[in-house]
Amino acid sequence: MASGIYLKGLFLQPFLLTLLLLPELISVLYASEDSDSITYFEPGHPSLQQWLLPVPPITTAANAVEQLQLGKLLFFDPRLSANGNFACSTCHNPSLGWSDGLKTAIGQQGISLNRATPSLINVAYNKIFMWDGRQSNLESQVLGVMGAEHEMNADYEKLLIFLSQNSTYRRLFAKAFPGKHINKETLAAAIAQFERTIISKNTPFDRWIAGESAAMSADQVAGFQVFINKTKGNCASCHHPPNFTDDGFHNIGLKSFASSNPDLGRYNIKPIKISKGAFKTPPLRGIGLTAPYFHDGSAATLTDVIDHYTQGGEVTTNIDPEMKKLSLSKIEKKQLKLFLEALTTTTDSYPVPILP
Amino acid sequence: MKVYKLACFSIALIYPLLLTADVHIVDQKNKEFSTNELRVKVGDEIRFTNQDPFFHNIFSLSDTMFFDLGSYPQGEFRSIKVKQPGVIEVECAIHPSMNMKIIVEE
Ligand SMILES: [Cu+2]
Repeated sequence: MASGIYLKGLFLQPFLLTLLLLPELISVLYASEDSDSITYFEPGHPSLQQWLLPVPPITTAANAVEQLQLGKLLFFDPRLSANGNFACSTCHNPSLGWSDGLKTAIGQQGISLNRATPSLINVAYNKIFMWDGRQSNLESQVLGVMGAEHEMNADYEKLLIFLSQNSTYRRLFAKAFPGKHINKETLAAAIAQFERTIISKNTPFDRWIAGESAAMSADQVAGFQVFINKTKGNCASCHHPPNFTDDGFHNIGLKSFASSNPDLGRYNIKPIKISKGAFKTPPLRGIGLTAPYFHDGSAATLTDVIDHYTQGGEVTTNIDPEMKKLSLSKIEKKQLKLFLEALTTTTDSYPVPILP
Repeated sequence: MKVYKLACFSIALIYPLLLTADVHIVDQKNKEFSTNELRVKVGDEIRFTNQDPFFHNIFSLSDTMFFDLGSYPQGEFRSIKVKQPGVIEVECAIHPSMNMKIIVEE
């Protein structure tokens, strides 16, 4: 009798355990259905709203307008660099999609740098900065680049004296940062605030998402389907909504990773196997303006980019598990390219300020 | 009958394990862990279940427990068994915004 009760209890325990875990099991089942939820390719459809960019976080600071106006002058001012010849805009050129059109950046005295200049388009939505993510906010990114020996090589002591002796800068700093000094902190805050105004959120794609059916052609809509479809382009796995980036790191199998001394990228910051040769996923709005592509600038055109992904990368050593050979027809590849072109607005001329 | 007895015997063997070691489930969904902080006991197991339609990774550089369980797709999980008290910072190497803390108590 006693053993009978014991047995009953014995069977009851796993049963209760299962009962306790039931909500977990249910949530797992529902979640997988949830994440595979269907996207409807109709302009303005609710399932597409995840691609709408939120209002950018520019105006949150007090005196935000004064700060970004000051930041715009500083951004274009080469006197911030050691030799007085190198501004933020030297590499982040508004005429070249806020990048430089080069394979990899050229620093002071023509020194070639290792990586391509990232575009500043939609940097306000960015959560982590630099190709290897070594900066966690835009202000520290600004100071890092300004102080880097082969970049602006700023002598901050001299620079702060220059700014405080220039009457216009002195006045603008006082307006932008009442009660604060002209220092590295306010300097970086102003430039970062300006950079956050470089926004692309009215592309043909955005207008189509908002419901304007004529904004994208039938081919472009088909290209968007290729982009999202996991068994086709699988692009959205990393180029997530809403800013076409997962703010993450991937080794996409570039040829340069097979060189004798490859750039290890994210691995230098987080020494985890998967990070070896991994670089940050760039957002895609404005890419029509930012060629060449990839962190090493090895793709000259969007067609080259698509070809690279279609063949599943060139070097498969430590390649990201999301990378695989794609079965895309010639037409699908063309549609994908047309879709990517719908992520850029035609540029208006950009007025560059006269420096004080 | 023999099979029945054998089954009872095996369950009786497993039973104490069911009682002592807890299994904690942490979901990975929408590029987030389902919790920022988890309190567990030495000997417990923590399962990280990937519910996103893309790969996640699990690693920790903590002194308490150093591990890299690699990357895995939707529907799969990786687990760790904690062996000593302390704090374990868990991260995803693909998505740096994903991080959580496991507090292991005696
Ligand atoms: Cu992840």
